[in-house]
Amino acid sequence: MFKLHLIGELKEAFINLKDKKVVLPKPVKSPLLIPSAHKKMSILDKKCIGCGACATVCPASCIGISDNKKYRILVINIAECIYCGLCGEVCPEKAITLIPGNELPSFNKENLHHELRIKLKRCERCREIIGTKKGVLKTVKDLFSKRGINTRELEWANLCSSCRRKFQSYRLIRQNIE
Amino acid sequence: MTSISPLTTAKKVIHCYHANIGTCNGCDLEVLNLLSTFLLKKQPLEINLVRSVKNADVLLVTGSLSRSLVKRIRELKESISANKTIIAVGACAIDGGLWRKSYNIIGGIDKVLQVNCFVPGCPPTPGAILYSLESALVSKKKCFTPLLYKEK
Repeated sequence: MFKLHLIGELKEAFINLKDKKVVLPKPVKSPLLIPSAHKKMSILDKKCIGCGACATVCPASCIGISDNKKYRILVINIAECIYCGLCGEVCPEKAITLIPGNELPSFNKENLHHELRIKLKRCERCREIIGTKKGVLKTVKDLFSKRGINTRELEWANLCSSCRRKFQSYRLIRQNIE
Repeated sequence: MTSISPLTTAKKVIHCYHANIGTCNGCDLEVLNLLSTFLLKKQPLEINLVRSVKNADVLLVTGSLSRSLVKRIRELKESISANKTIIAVGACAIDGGLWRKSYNIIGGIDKVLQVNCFVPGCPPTPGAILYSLESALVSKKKCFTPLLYKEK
């Protein structure tokens, strides 16, 4: 038996669809990697100044720091990372951040790390390591941004802590003699 | 490694054996979540958990390698055939994870077994595990690329 009342309902439904009073449910897309569910590490390599704050704060101790003759080497081991995001909170330059996304799998164990090499700065008198070039530049900028920097102060900034004390004491003695 | 041609239209059933070697049960729950996700509907894969190792195609190993379980894993290694894919799920399975410095733990499971695919994360999402399964079995998709930066 053909039901006549169904035709009327269908007609009503078509009219409602045309006027967009009713919206059909769209098919749900199922992406393989859900971006909001997990976090992924993103590193802006040119911003890093090599201060090492992330390495001291990391609870899983997956960031290693070692000094070469020329470079400071930061090795970030992705295999041991627990994605807590503490390194991103600490970083002064916002070089490390956690973004929504998924870390991809790898077929080699040795591939699971990032490596950054940042140039070191040495003391101009005794050639001892002060820090990185970018780090020293940043401190100079933060200290003397409001007024310009003297040549004497620039000389002071490029020395290590023990040489700074000597430099200042020599200067004081010279002033007294003059 | 077992391989499936990507041209096959029918769903390929993969039999997984889930080996737990001393985890915090975070990765185990994610593996179990994988079986009940909506992600599987559109994929060419269908995943079944199997009770014995001999019926399995894939070994999903979670947890760090503790000293008391090395004997059992060596037994497990002898019972499986050579062309089985072994996937290390989670940070502990790769390199000991948070507990790598403790007295009872030797390291990752790659010291005993020959691992085909490593899935980073603590714990990795079911999506990530499925992605690695698909990339290991069906087609080699994008994999992790390390960043090497040297200041000039």
